[in-house]
Amino acid sequence: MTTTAPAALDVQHLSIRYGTGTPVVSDVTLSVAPGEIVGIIGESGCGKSSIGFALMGLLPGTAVVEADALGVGGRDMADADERDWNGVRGTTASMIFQEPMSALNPCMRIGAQIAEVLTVHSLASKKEALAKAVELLTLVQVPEPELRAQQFPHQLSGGMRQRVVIAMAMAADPTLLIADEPTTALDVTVQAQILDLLDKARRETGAGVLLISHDLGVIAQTCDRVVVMYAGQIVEEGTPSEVLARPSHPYTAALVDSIPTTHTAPRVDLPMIRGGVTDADRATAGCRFAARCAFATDGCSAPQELEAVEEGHTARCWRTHELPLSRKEVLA
Amino acid sequence: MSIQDTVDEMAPLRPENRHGTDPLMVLNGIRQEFPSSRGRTVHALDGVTLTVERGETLGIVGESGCGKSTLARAALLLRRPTSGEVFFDGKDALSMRGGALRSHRKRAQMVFQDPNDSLDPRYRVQRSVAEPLRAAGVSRADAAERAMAALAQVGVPEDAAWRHPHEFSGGQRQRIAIARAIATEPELVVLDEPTSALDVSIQAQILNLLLELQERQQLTYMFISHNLAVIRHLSHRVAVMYLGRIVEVGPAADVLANPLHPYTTALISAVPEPEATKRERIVLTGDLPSPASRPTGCAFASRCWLATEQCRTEAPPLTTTAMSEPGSGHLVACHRPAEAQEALASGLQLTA
Repeated sequence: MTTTAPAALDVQHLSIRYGTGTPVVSDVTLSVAPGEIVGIIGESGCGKSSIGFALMGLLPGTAVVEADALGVGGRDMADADERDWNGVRGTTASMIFQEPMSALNPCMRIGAQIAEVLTVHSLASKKEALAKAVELLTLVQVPEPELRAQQFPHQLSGGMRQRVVIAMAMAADPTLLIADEPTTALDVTVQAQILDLLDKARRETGAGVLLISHDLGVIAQTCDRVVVMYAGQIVEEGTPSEVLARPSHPYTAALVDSIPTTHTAPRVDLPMIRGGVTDADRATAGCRFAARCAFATDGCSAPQELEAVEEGHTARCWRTHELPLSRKEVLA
Repeated sequence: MSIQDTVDEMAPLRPENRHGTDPLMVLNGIRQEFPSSRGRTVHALDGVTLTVERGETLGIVGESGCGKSTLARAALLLRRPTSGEVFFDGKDALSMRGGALRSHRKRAQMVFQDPNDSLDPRYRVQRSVAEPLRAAGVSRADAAERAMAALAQVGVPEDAAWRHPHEFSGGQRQRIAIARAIATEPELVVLDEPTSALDVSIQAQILNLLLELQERQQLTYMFISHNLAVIRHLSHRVAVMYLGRIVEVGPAADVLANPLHPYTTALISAVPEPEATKRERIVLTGDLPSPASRPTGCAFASRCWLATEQCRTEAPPLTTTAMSEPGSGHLVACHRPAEAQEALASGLQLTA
């Protein structure tokens, strides 16, 4: 893919619900340019993984997906059926999962698994595909790629397995890579290697990357843009330095404050977000964070729009300009 | 922020505990070996010597497979070490049997990583929390009462006692597991990754609770985590483990702001910080070597950018160095500690 290609991802007003339940994702508009890494951050149940699965057509049949546009690598998949998705998965868009052991077939040699991505889509002959698999293993910096290609997943360490998963995801030169918590199961030193690899992958292939993580540090160090989700909605969006250093939504600010870092005083109580997300929060017409927000007033029961706080930085909070959210700036 | 600023910020909160004054538990030369295939032996713990001071939090940090959980289990005699000594409050814990062992267990309790696994799904909460008390010989009525008191301590509502674990969120379940650990009024609580299965906002709640309980009940913590930021937040002292050995130990402020072992330096540099702008990291190549074929010499040599021939052949002892703050008890097992320190000071421009 060249960088003149259409957006890697262009989602307009995506909503996802299961049956008649409250939506798990509401009105999400999201784009990823070629070569860009966009992070989605939020707690369990905020809808971030549902978005990832929706973009691969992998949601279960009970899920109702509605979107004005679901542009994946330039193809609109809003009304796609299973056959259309089969033409996209693995080629135009591919996914890197959290747990590499369960993403790999334990009974199949590494090289054959990677090659399968190419043969299934008739992109290469079996022989060419196996040669490409070794090339890909070299690209993701697996030592002794010829040997590794002959081995089975259980013979590899966790970090090596995740490299193999990335090699598979990159095999068909996709326009969009979706990485759902790709380093959560790995140690920090290996995490650093994998994040570097993702960064290298997008620079060398021009693929757009959607990085889903609950780890603010991973997002800050890796992404060009970050989207903060709460209870199925985007509540803030901008560059990591804007969003994480100058949070403009009370939820983002509370999330950033609740994490111990080298800048927080040790053995002192951390600010907490009390309670949890309820179904009532997801169903409310007003601000969904209001029930847990330290700054909520009566006005917060009105519907909240994503509005610009500065250029390229938006937040879904009508009080953002009057709130003392930026603890870091206050301290500095 | 410069390194010096960080040191000043992290002044130790209990100076009396800075250097070996009142040990609650002493681990001496703990080895834990497991038989492996083809007659090989896995040396999960390879001679660990550590002191846990009364009232402190000793943080143990290291990557998966370094032996931190094995160490926790050995310290609590959940699995007897192959060799070595465990002294608790001056007494030899490994020689305890019968009643003496049961009353010892009351004094040292554990909180596990995943409350979904550590709480019996068929027990009501009160029964789980009362179980260690019953095991220690407390009467049913007394145990019930003390279980309720422990639940109140961790902020779980009273009516929760009669419900089952599945009715609670992950954070609430971990509170219940903590209540069970403190129900016997122990002196030592070993916490094995107590927040890794939780969301960050819930993590803050649990960390705050642990600090509060420690203060209120004068608890001693051995806190095991792979998360350096969490270790730094809770610990007075920190021990860094690599492949079954302690490679660095000392006051948290010294070890984390002024690391002397290249592995500690790499670990610190690998932690992504949410507020920092993108920065250089020391990216280690490769993985942990196998504890079944432990290299001679320094175990970290295969991944270390400073390794010399000496490092590959001669295992460095854990000892004090000229770079340690005098009297701080800051020990390191490295032939070239000065260079590791320079790596951090030079802004982490290194890649291995």
